[in-house]
Amino acid sequence: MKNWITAHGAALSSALRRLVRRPFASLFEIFVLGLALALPAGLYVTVESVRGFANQHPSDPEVSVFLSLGVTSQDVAIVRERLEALADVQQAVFIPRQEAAKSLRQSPGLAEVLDALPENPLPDAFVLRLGTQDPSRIDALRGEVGGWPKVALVQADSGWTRKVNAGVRIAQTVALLLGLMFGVAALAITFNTIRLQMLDRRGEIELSRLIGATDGYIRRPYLYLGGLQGLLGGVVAVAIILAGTRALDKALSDFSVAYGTQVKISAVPWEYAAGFLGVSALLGGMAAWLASSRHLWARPLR
Amino acid sequence: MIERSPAIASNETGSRAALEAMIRFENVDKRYPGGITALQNVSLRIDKGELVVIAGPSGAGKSTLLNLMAAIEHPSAGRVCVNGEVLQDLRARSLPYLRRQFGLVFQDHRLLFDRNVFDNVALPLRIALFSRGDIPQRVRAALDKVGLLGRERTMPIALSGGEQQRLCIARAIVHRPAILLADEPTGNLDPDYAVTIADLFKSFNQVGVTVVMATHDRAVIDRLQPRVLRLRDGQILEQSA
Repeated sequence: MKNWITAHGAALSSALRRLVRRPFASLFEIFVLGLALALPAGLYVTVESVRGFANQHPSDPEVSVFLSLGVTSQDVAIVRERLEALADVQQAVFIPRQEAAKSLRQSPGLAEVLDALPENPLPDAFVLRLGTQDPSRIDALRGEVGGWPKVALVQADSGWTRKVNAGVRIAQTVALLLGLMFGVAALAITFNTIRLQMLDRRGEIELSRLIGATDGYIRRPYLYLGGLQGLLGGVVAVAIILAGTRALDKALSDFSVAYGTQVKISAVPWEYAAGFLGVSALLGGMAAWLASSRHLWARPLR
Repeated sequence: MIERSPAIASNETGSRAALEAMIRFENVDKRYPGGITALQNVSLRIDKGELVVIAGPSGAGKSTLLNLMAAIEHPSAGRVCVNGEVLQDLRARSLPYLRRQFGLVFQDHRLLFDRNVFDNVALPLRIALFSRGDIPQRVRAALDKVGLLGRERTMPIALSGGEQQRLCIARAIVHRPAILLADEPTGNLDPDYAVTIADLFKSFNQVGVTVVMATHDRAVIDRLQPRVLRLRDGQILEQSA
């Protein structure tokens, strides 16, 4: 056991020496690897943030039913009863006109406008949460409710959140595909580095095999080298993502305020960052295993 | 380390059957692609603790014979048996462990020129996972045997041809192998060095190591007084005791 640990320690220190022996080439390779890993991961973080924002706003179809001005509480009760009797309506929330005015006053600049008016211009309304997303049924419901007495206007306004969600789903798929592509690219970068290193040391490898080295012994330092490269590439990628999100967060925040909302790029949780580093190291190790196996299988000793 | 018995030392033909065979070839052929036949119907037996020289002109098949013994090459026909193992039947993953029983001395030395003398000699010990505490002591003992003690930090490029050859020998003996296989170990050396190297091999044999050496150096053969297998055109012409 002690010898086994010593062998792994020696393989790790050999891998570190190989990294340090060619500092510029190693740094360049790690940086390229970091870039390849940062692009899909960064896109994924951005998409997740936009998704989080979209989730704050209901994407289920929401229909507003505005009543005529001057309706009585009895009229409201009749409309509520009819609405709740509809099969597609899950919930009907009544918003009195005073409540609506109070809410509107909180929007910048609108309080003065409301104060300038002789009376509250807003009607009583119901906000309906529907149990269907089928546009034709929503249209049918809108038409039916719009024809009822004491109902002034019916408005379905969930379209934009649905569009955002659809966009997020597309972006997630793109991020996944890019992740796969760049993952393969990262694999190829490490594979090539290890392949060249093994070619450079083929004399030593051949000699070691002649005097009794197992494939595992030969492979071990290269596996550590690949894993280390992957890990350091992951660290560079996390650094790029953190710097990128910090820069983007400010710009996006200014942009979203202009639209009366708040979009924030979510901070990368440390568990995600650790998982990402683990996956990068694993990718590097896999590439090294492939490269070393190819080298050893292509040169059988007998 | 194998202790050499007087019976082995005497090399008496009558007692050979009672001895344990270290290396056995049975009707071995070796053909290379392109129809080149390196060995033809070779049968031989080398006992534990023997000192054997394979002699013959260049191209006679000496290196091929050694490569087959070291399991570096496969025979095209026949059986090669080393230390009780039939090499053809050996699984690929067992090969490295068999090879650790050999000490290989190459004609071209195969030294690692980016490592110092110590690291070159320590390589077989590290491969065989010897403990870190054991390695310096064994390396120094091997270097002492070949007269390179005190040169541990020297890079191989700074050594003369003879010293490089002795370094190669130190690497071959450091893990105390059961069999020492040497391919033209004196090939590039001047006669004085050649005799020194021959004496080294004799000393290893005297402590029980089976030594098989390929050479066409007459002076070395005269010095060692070994059993000689004479090869020509891939066939054993004669075996002398």
